[in-house]
Amino acid sequence: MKDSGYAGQILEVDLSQKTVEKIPLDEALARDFIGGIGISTKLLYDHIEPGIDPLSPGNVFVIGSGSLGGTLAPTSARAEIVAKSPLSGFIGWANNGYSVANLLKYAGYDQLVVTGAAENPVYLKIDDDDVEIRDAGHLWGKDSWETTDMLWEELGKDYWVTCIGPAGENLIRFACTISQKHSAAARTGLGAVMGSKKLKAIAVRGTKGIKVADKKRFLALVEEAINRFKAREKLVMAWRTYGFLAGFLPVVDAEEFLRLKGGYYACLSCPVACNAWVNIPDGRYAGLSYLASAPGTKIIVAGDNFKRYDEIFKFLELLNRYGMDAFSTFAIVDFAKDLFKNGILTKGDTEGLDLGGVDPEIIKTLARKMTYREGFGDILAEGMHKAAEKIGKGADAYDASIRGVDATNAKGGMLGATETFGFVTNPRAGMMERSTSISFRPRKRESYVRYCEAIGVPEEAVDRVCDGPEGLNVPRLTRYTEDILTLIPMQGLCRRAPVTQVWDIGLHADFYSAATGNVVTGKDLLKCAERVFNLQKCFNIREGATRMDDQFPKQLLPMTLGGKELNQDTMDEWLNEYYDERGWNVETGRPTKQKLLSLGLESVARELEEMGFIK
Amino acid sequence: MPEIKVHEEKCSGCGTCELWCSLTFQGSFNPLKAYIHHEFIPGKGFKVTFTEDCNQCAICGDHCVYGALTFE
Repeated sequence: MKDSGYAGQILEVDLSQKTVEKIPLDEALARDFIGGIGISTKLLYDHIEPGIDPLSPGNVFVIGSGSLGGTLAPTSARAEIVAKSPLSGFIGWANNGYSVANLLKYAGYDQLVVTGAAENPVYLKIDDDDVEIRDAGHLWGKDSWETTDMLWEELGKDYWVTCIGPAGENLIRFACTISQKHSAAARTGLGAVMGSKKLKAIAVRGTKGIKVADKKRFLALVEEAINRFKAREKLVMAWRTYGFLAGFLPVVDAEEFLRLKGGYYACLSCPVACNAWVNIPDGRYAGLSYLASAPGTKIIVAGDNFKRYDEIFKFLELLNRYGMDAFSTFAIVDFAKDLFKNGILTKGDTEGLDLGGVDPEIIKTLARKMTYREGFGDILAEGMHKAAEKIGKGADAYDASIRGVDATNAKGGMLGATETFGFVTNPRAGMMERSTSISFRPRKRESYVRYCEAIGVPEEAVDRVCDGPEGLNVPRLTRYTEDILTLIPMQGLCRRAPVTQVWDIGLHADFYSAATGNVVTGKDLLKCAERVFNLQKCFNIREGATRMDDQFPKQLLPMTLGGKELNQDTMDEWLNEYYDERGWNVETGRPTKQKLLSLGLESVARELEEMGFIK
Repeated sequence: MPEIKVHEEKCSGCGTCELWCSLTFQGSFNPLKAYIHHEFIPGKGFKVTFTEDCNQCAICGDHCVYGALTFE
């Protein structure tokens, strides 16, 4: 694996046994699962016992960079954490742009696998070949900013730090990890997995370098990709200026956003810079300044909880310090407010908090109560689905979660067609991260045909996918969108709109071939992505998932997606079409044995067949 | 002699300069091995510094898409 874009090793740390093992990266593993979320999914599947409690020592925490991670391939900074989610009980993952995974690769490791649990708080100090499990008693109880500052003081700023705050320590089921004080691997509660292992932080310095197989070709591709970004200047500049708000300008106060924005910032090797650093010039929070990763999304999901953007930015600072997923936090705050407005919760339940109005201080109090599991916050800290069960009294009618993962943002299909349908079919559930296409607004059929070509939809499928008056069949297109969006995090790339438009399947194959020396086609890579997606589905099936788990919460339906109404009746038809396009058993919604064998997942097929899940 | 001029207000912190520098002088990708570095300073933005080993070759400036490094 020398000079192949890979670091060439997997680092395994067992916190129960206090052992550290370095395993050479297996060539077949890299070839079949590419990297990033692909290799991490395979390692998770193989290491974990089905049925374990996600907050027990049996859970397995895998973090790793992609096949192109840490190079000049534009946007190759994104890295994933994969584990069994405490929120859903199924596979969970979350990604961010400033992960220690990048430094792990420079230190010589493509993936870090953490098993077991420490008796007392620890942190991992990784300095190239030197790996130590260190006491973290002095860090426990500190917020993520304090923890990072203390580790920088202790080790030096050459170390990158990914850590948890009090939310992770207190096993809040939507706690996240925070890297470099600002970058959250937000979703599905993986901060709580670190907390359950008493793993406060991972601090990494890497002084080795990454070499690619064909440097000349690789750099020519870098130039080509950069030119493609330059050719999309209008789109790039919109994202650089407004970030995610670029798509929501009519409904936000763009002027106020820009007034509070100190400037843009980018993840490693990104020519877009959709992130913003905050610099509040006046008012109650004058002087507040920090790197606010993707602040536009939070302004959108904050909804009517805050009237002022400086209040939102102050709240986001708080959530970063706590180490709590902003999306889940806002979703559960809205859930609690709904229950309050409908009389299911009263001031007697909320320790006197009036959830009927808009009061930033009450939202902050709620966040604190959840983070420290104080009183009523202890129930909400379990996540929307479990909280609804505990509260009872009809609260389940307001539970907008899919497999336990809050999906409030699917409401009304405002995020787009495949984008919204994928909330259900994504093995992780909730949010559009695995199904963003171009269907967030109506387009002509020709646009979808061109899109299909760019993402490598087989020719024989194009007419099925680009069907009907709107030019798309939502469930069938979702299947192919999911595959390319699985490949993106396998390569370690970003999945935001200006990036996915540049990275067509041809560029993926060219870059991978130049980096690794293993010459592949786009079709080869998409088969690997399909393999990974199927394995993620099989993870859930092994945990007992059925077709009944692939449903929208009742209160989110009906909605209009791709010009058609999706309701309780048509949902079944849409799922049938989706499973059919995946080559799965339409009745059970599970991959067939034949499908798994065709993807080279023989041992998985055997295991699931023996368990009676597939035939 | 021409020198690299830094326009810090345009810097995005993307580290592309560091990756080009490390590739050019160390033969591999790693921002920590570069002769140019950036750091975020709250309230101010990105601060760009050079190590003593920098010979002002300007390869960093050639590849900065943000216009934060020019060779004058």
